[in-house]
Amino acid sequence: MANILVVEDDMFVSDMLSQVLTRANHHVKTAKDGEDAVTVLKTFEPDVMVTDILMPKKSGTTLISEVRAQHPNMEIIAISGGGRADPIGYLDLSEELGAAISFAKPVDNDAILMTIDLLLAKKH
Amino acid sequence: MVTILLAVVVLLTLGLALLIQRHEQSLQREVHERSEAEKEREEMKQALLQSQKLEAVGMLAGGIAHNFNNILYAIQGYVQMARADVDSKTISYQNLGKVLEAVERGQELVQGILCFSRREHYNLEQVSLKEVLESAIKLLHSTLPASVELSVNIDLGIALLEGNRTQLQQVFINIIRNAADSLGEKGKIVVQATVESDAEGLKLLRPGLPCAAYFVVNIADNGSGMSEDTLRHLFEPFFTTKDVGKGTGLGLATARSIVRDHRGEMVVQSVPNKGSTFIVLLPVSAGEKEKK
Repeated sequence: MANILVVEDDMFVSDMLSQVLTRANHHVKTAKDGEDAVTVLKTFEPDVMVTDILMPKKSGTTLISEVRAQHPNMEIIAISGGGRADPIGYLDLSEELGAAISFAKPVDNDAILMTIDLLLAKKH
Repeated sequence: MVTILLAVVVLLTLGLALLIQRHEQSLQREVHERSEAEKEREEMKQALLQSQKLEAVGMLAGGIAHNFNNILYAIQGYVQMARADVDSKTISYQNLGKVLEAVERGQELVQGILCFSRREHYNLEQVSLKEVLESAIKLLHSTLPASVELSVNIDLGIALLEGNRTQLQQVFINIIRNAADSLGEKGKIVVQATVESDAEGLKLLRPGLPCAAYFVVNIADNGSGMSEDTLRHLFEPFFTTKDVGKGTGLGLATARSIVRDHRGEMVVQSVPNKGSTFIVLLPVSAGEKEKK
């Protein structure tokens, strides 16, 4: 079991991911954008943060660059709707900024769960 | 006197006939020129419409892709969870599997649109078309039905092309896949690639292009071929003759757009029930011809 923060502005995706992770016995908190995530991180120390990239107020890449140094033990998984074909290369950028791995949406539930297990195993 | 008058009348008649003939010729020429100009105007109008359509697809793509993938992701995630709770022997389990297949189809469509609309962002480098073709064919081999016979003859020497490897690979994958789809249970696809330098082919490439030689890649199949009507619409985005779910209608539109981005041209010859030949022409990089 791990503490996981899901940062996602799409309410359906946020709820779905939250359910997927809770069913796998993880403790989940959600934030609706990067700015909200910064607030949540003041009182919650997650083992893993799963963050969307394109969000209002504060994007996933800005969030990663801001929180990476303050939470060095937190693993970050970036997910984006634009996928690998987006011209800016957000997914690659998120990895350069400190995400352990990035995925293009839609991601298989098992892929997210297995990745979290692997990242947690690596930490311990 | 009468003879002189007769001669004058004959001369006048001949002169008049000549004038009428010249006038008729001039009229015919004018009608022909007008008809040619009209044809040219119509072609330009069609090209403009096509380019506006492509631009609209491109503008829409970036905007919808992100939201569409979120929608697909939510559907996929919830359905995978629901499916995990259902007995795998039930109809519900199978039906949920079909929802996941539909999601996959949606995802394929979004990726197709993204590939189509974001061509302008790729980097150019000196590329070996031989390597591009070989890797495209290698990638395709595992996905083509065993009943499809693929014959490949590449004779390109070391000539290079200024282009993007991944995009060019996409061109040949799309064309060969399309050829395979046109085959029945059994069929043959022949890929031939050469370097040519005749003026006729060079004329087909973008005018003013500083190249003395060009690549010709012929991809021929003995499949169902295409009607004239299909040929007219073949490169329009979203045009497809395939069954629902079998194609996005973007494969050939993307292929030709990539070829044109590389300052090349793509032409098609087809006979219904006999097969089709796609011909891709691409310029050899300046100064590379002599290396062949």
